[in-house]
Amino acid sequence: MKVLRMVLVFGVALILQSTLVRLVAIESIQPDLILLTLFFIALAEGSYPATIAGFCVGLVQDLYAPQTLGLNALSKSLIGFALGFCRRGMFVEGLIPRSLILFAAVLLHDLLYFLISLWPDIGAGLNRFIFVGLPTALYTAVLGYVIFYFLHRKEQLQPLQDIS
Amino acid sequence: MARLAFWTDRSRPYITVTVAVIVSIVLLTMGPSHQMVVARTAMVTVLAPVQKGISWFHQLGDFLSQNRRLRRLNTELALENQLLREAQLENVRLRQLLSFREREQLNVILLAEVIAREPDRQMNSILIGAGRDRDLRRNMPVVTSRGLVGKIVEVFPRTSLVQLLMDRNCPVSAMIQRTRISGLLSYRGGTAFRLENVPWRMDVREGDQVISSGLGGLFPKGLSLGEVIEVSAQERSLFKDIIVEPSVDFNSLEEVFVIVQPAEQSPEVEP
Repeated sequence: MKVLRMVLVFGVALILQSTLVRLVAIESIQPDLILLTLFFIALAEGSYPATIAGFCVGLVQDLYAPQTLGLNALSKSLIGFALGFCRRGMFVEGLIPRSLILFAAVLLHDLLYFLISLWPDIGAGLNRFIFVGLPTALYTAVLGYVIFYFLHRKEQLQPLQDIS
Repeated sequence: MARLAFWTDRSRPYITVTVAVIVSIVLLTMGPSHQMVVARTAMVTVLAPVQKGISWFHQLGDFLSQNRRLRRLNTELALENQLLREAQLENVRLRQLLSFREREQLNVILLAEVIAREPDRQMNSILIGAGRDRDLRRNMPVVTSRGLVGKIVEVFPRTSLVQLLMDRNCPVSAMIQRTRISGLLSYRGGTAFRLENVPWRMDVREGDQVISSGLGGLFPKGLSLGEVIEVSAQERSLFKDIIVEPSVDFNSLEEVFVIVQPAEQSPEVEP
């Protein structure tokens, strides 16, 4: 059941990422809903499921690219693994620390992604990382903050609704 | 036994990530295979109807204004067409006078809706809503009214995957429209393209239009590619450094046209 739910959530994220996310793009920079979903999965389930989820969703993403099969699978499984470890840390409780970890995760993902995809042109890889990776990480972290905020509020309101 | 189970449980994430990394690296070094094509077809077949539905729903709100805009454009194009027909007749007469071979026509242009983009940082491909059902084939050129977009790399039952010019592995044989100087146009990161292999002595200026040369045999001659925005020549370099701004906005593609060419068409050779 849990796996089915995970597949469904990633499926929705993937479809939204490939269709509607461009509507909220700022100067062609879009938030990464797939990494955002992976972040939630990693925090909820831990390293092992997050690594597998990252690998699978990365592979599906790779199937769209004519040339770079395996690149997203590699970067997302590593990020899923790393994020799963954050679950054990106590610093992921607050809204800002969570957003900062998300920011760092997208940043790390993009560094890996651009360096490998544009290898051996390291200059071009760093250029894409600065001009695409950095703003994408910022956008995703801001969106993540908004989602964390609403989830947090919902959690706070839950007991009151139960009482009434 | 209990110790082994404990160890396996503890090291499970490490084993998983190691396996995932190894498999990913193997996939990265591996070329395109039949299994990959099958997997891609299966995935696109499953996801495409949902993506198509969402794209259609989104475009619904745009239909009224689009209709008005297209009516106006239709009138403008009809007028322009009349002028061009005159020019074409004149061109035919002049070609006959010079004994030039008749230029091949682009037979069929097929409209296809963009239903999904590559869900990735670098947009190298798009998915269009026409495939084997509309007799599309690999390597067919894809254009918009503004110019060349890319080529079809994979055809599925009802959809096709289009490799954009923004993919570094999709260079185009190009030329400067004004001076007919040839070069190779390819994406090199950022928003601009680079026209390579143009000797430093050649006459290229900012503002020059870049079109496809037709030399590769894949893309027809004369499709707009972009405009030269920067020309420089490094010291001791044999070639000019030419930056080209693409004529197509790859981020706002909604409909594209596939140029359906007859299979037997050979690359055009100018006399």
